[in-house]
Amino acid sequence: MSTVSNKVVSAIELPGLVNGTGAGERSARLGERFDLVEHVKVKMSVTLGGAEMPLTKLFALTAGDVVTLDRDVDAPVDVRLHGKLIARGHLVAVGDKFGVRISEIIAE
Amino acid sequence: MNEAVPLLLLGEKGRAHLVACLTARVEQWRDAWLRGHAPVVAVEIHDPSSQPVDIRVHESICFRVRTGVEVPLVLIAPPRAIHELMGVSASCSGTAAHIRDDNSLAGVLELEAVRGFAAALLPASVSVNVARTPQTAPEIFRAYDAARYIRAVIHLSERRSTLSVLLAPAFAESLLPKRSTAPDGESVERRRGALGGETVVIDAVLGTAEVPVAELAALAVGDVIVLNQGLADGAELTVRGGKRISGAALGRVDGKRALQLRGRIA
Repeated sequence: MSTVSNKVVSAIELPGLVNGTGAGERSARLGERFDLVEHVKVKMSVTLGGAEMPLTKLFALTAGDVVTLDRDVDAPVDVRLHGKLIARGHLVAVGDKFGVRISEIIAE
Repeated sequence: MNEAVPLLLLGEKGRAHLVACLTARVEQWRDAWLRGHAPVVAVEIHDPSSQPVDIRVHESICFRVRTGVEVPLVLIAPPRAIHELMGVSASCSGTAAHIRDDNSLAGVLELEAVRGFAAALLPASVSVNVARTPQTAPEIFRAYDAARYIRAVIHLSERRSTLSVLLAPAFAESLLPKRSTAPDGESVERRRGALGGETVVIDAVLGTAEVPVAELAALAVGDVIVLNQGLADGAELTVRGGKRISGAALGRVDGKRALQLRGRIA
């Protein structure tokens, strides 16, 4: 079917809309409808710990230097979503990959 | 008309360069316009926010220079300075009312003189159109001070006449030499010394995992998240909230986790 038409066309003028003034009864709030977004993938990151250092030391870092972190070896690692801590867990090996066994879910 | 200002920190060097640049352009124009007569010209550059409006500008005439590009320029001049621009004897007295933007020969000459003056300040490729503005000088100063325009005060003929030019920051910036990025690292080194005492937090990131929201919502104690990072890949050192520093091997030092940097340092 051709998408080109020789019929007379006219411009469409869209009405102005104002939030919250729709006609008729207002429906219930959408709420936390996770089913709408359950397929959306989010990216979590796992951090082992951190370290605070002067800029002079940071600038002087070279390959081979060792940076000691602020966490004990057996301390849990942090699971973060967009920088926000959501869970903690312990490092495990899953085949040839790192894995984290969740030990704590952080409440909101 | 307002625009963000890139020129707040003009500095002494930048100020001196701007003065030299404007002085050269004004003298060159006067030399051409007045056929060899090149009087003493001095230029002062004022910080936009720190200069109170000179009471003498109240009687001034204001011109807005329209250009083919976005290079707004405003000229504020008392009648004496307009006469100077026109090449009329500076000894003749006059007020703003005496020189009008009309079709008289004086009016046309006045606009042409101001146009030539503005054209001398601007790049040669810019077309210039000059018109009087009904705004008074204090109104202009208030409006443009708010926008932090650079104000150049130009003294003509041994300082008997002065006129003000408000320069758009972008235009003033174009008159300055390109800011050094210190290819030899010299200025960077100077700043490094001053910054050296500041501390920064770095994070050791082991890896990431992408999961659907449904799985994330159902995440429970005992579940295992498999990361994209292989056991041989090690971890990454990053500046918190910033950039990656380096890849690193995971290890321990005195019971603490530790990373040994490897590969290319960012």
